[in-house]
Order: sequence, then C-alpha cells, then structure tokens
Amino acid sequence: MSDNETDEEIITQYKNGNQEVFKELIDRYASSFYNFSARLANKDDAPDIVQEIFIKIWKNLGKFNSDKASFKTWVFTIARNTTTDFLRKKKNLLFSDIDRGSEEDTNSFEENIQDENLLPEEALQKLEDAQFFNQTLEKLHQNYREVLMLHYQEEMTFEEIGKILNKPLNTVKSQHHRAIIELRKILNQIAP
Amino acid sequence: MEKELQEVFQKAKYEIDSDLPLNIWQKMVKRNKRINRTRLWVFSSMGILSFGGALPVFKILLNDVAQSGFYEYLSLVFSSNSPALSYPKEFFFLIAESLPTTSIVLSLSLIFILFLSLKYLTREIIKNQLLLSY
Repeated sequence: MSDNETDEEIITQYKNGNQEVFKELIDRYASSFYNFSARLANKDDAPDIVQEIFIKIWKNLGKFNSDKASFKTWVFTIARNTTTDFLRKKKNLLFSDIDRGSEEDTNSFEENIQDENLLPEEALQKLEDAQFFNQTLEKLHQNYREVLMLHYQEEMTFEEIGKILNKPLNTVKSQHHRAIIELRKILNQIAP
Repeated sequence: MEKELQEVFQKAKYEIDSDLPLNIWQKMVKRNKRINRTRLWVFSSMGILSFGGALPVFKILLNDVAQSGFYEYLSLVFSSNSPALSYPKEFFFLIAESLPTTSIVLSLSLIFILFLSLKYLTREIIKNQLLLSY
C-alpha cells in the first residue's frame, strides 16, 4: 500500500474485503483527531475519544457517500459529534453553549469582514510559543476553537467547515471572524 | 495572517503517543472479534434449537395432515370422474380448509429461523476468518 493512495481508494479496497487497509486510515487521521479532541476536550481523554471516533467510522464506513462530501469532511463530522457527545456526557458543556454559535446570524458578517488583518504581527509572534498558544486557545469558546482548528490546523475551507458543523457558509465565516477578534482580546488581556 | 496562523497551529500541534494508532487498531480488532463471537454463539444456539424443534414439529404436522383427511381429499384428484375437475373452486377450498394451519405455520416458522440462523452463521464465520488473520 502506498502513501499516495487517496482516502477514497483505500475505502474502495476496504469495501472490497481488505479490512486491513483501515489501519492506514488510522495512521493518517489519528494525529489530527487527537489534536482536535485534545483541544476541544482535554489531553487525558483524547485517546479514548479518538478510539471512539474510529469505531464509529468503522461501523459507518459503508454509509459513506463520496458524492455528498469528501472523506475528510465526513470523518471530521464524526470526530466533532463524538467529541461533543463526550463533553455532553461529562457535563462539561451546557447544551445552550453548543448552539450559541448557531444563533449568531450572518447580518453582522458584512460589516465585520472589512478588517482582514485582525491579528497584528506582534500578536502572531506571541502565539509562536506553543505553550502560550495552547493556553490562549483554551480560553476561546468551543465554537470558535473548532472553526479555527479546522481552518488553520486541518486547512479546510469555510465551505467544508460548514458541512462539518452543519452551519451556513456565512455563519462559519462570521464565527471565524469573531474567533479572531476574541483571540486578539484574549491576547491583549494576557499580554504583559 | 492566514499563512502565519496556519504555521502557528502546525507548530503547536500535540505529539501523539507513537503506539496510539496500533493500540486503537488492536482494540478495534479485539472488540470486533468479541462481538462476532457473541453473534456466533447466538446464531449457533438459534440454529441448534430450531433444528431440534423442527423434528417433533414435523412429526406433529404429519400426524395432523393424516388426521385432517387431507390425503383422502388429495387422492380424489387422481380418481376417475374427479370432483376436482367438476367443481375446482369448491374442491380447492375444501382441501385448503382441511389443512392443519397451526402445525404448518409452526413448521414454516422453524424452517425460516433455521435458514436465517444458518445464513448469519455462515456470514459470521467468514467474517471471523478474515479478522483472525490480522
């Protein structure tokens, strides 16, 4: 099996009876899911969440339809739902909090989008310290954190993020914008 | 800003335990084997029970068919001046009425369960063979 194979090719092989190729999918996505769940939940629970994510992918792989979404979008939808379910179970997250972002409509998007360069060079330099960056990220609301992580860490488009979060494109863009503003606020508060 | 933030995110990525992917795979295989083994037991038990039950039920069915007069009615089909040819509709209803419905339903249900468990049992055995090779 080569690394050049696409996810879709691997799935085809899996569906043709070669179950061992699933290992390749685990190798590809384990780190991304670990980071995603560690940042949304916590590092200690992340391995269990990652395992749960892969079990769900395994169970539902037959239902994957490449016409509807890319494999990456599909698996991240599962990852996001699994992590949110985990947080709900642990009661660390109020239901109202989960939907807070969806209530933010798109009307403010047009006026907020003017300022593209919301994070000045100085702020970006501060974030280069990984520990400081992780602490700052933890202070962000979950909705903002997941948008930033999916966009900057997983390099997904806003459209793909919209599919994962089940939100309209403009809402995602608006959330991203607000997340950056929030990040700047936090940085200003923490900054010496 | 876009590119810089991407770099910041990549740089701050948590490193995963190198054994984590393999552990996940092994746990999944183990879990799946356990589920398959349980299914195997359930379907084998169902198969054995339905097979064991089928024998007395078939005996009852044969007995009921003999007592119902079904054979006698059926033999009329082959006799000369058969009423089956003169009054086919009435004859069909007569034969149908004489059938022991309860025993037939019971026997067919058991056969259905037996074949269903055999089907799933075969599927589980094939699945298990595939998984055992990992």
